[in-house]
Amino acid sequence: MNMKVNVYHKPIINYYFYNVYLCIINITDNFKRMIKSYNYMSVYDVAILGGGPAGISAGIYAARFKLNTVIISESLGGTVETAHLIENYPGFESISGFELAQKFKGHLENFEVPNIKKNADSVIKEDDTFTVKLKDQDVKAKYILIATGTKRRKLDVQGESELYGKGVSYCVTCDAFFYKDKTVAVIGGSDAANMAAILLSTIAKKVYVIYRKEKLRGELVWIERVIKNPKIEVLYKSAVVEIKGKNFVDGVKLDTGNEISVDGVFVEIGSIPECCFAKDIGVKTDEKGYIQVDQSQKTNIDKVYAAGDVTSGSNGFQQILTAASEGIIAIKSIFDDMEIRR
Amino acid sequence: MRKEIKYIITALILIGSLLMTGCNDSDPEKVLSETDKVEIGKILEDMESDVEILLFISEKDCFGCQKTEILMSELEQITDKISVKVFDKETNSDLSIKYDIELVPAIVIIGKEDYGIKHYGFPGGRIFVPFIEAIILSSMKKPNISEDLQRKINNIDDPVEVKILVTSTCPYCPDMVRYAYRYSILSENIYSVSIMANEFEEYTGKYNIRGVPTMIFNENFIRDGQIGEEEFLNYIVVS
Repeated sequence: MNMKVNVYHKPIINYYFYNVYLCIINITDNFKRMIKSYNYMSVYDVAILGGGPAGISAGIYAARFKLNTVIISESLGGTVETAHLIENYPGFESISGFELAQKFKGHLENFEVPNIKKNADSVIKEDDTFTVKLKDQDVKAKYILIATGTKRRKLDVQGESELYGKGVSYCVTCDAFFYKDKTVAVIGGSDAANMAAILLSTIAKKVYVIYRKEKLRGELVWIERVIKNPKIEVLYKSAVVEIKGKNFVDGVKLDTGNEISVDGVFVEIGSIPECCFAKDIGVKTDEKGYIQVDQSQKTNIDKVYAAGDVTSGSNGFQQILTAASEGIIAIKSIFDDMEIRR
Repeated sequence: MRKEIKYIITALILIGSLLMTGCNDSDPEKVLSETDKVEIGKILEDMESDVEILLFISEKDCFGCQKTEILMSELEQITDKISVKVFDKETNSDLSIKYDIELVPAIVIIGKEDYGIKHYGFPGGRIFVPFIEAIILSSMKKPNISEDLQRKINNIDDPVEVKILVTSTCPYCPDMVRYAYRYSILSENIYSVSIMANEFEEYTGKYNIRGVPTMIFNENFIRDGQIGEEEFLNYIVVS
């Protein structure tokens, strides 16, 4: 039986995009309801760590399975929000990542799934329950679903961190405008890099795509648009070894020995799994750090599941669709496991 | 209530997207379509008291003045709780000095009191949502907050100005603007200025940045990139 141990006094002003209107529409009633929904229960059925497509879809299904669930994530939406355009999500011929993320969050709002707006620091297993350690409180749950996604991979070359915000960027939708009629380089050759190059070509006078392999990879639709774009030049079999500049970026040095003058560098070389605490409880990862799961999204640790880009599942095909799919498979598996144990 | 929230969110997203992609292209004299006005009107029904918007414009070298003036006028027409006063920055120098207007268009939101909330540029795209939120929150009494947060805010004895450089297409920017606006409402010593960096390249250039969001605390400390709400307040406290 769940029992309230304390009340999280969520400040009424401490809200994100959605719950702002809980307060605004009817400040008294909604505040009470919000406080109620943010009560920390003694033991949740499931604690979902992460608020991207996997975490949100898991939250929706968990609510429909009537599981007492909490989503622990500083923000909801995930990296989807930064995508310029999404053209492969059924039902939306072309939609910005931001809009799609808002729709995900709006859908989740239909269910009573509390969201603790913090990221988990660590997870500790104690007998039959897990304790998720947050900065200033603990959350207990019977099952853990790790859906923490990935974080941007960095080039790890000289000049990258020194010139971040001064020509080095990891968000093309944020910073593209700074490069009107300038020359920029996009590092990478996947869908994200191709889309970044296409967007930048509408603003910059010249876009270099610098890629270490012999041909671009990803969806052929994007590749074709890059190849045919007269403003974009792809430099194959080239890797950046240094980003040069004093106050701002003024060039990149390649492993071919060439140097190119550019005003900005957009790094789009993929991502690495964000699951540093998974190893704390003995969760197995592959050689790249992705959590290994079986077909039910179960990890090697009893009652610990994982879903989305943080896993090695879906044949390594990291898409919004596959992340959402893994999230709901994980919840169904957790639900089934709980039924068996009853 | 849930449906109502979803409805409002959807409406704001649609309106924000519209503003980001070029507004009401069919009529250059309009920013909002009639449908947008109806949706925004429903959202603004939650305002509790009147809000005054002071819009500073200029006839020379003002990229977004005309469009911003149209948008403010349309907001004024939507609800009688919003009144807009338009001033030419040059011919109203006393007022410009009083509100420390550096750029045009400049929007000053004055709700139940002057909370120190200012925006430079056309408040479109993803910034439209926190902008509308600021109008609504300014019309309401100060919300109850946690003792911990109140204690931190009470410790801010000296004025702190937070400038937030943003773009209309930046997904990380609305939260930064939202944090600043909210802290301004909560503390008489916190002043917030959101700035559309793409409209003021020269102004942005003096901070030597090429990325958003970027926060400038009291003109002497620059923090770029997305940060959490607590960290945001910590920067204010130490500024």
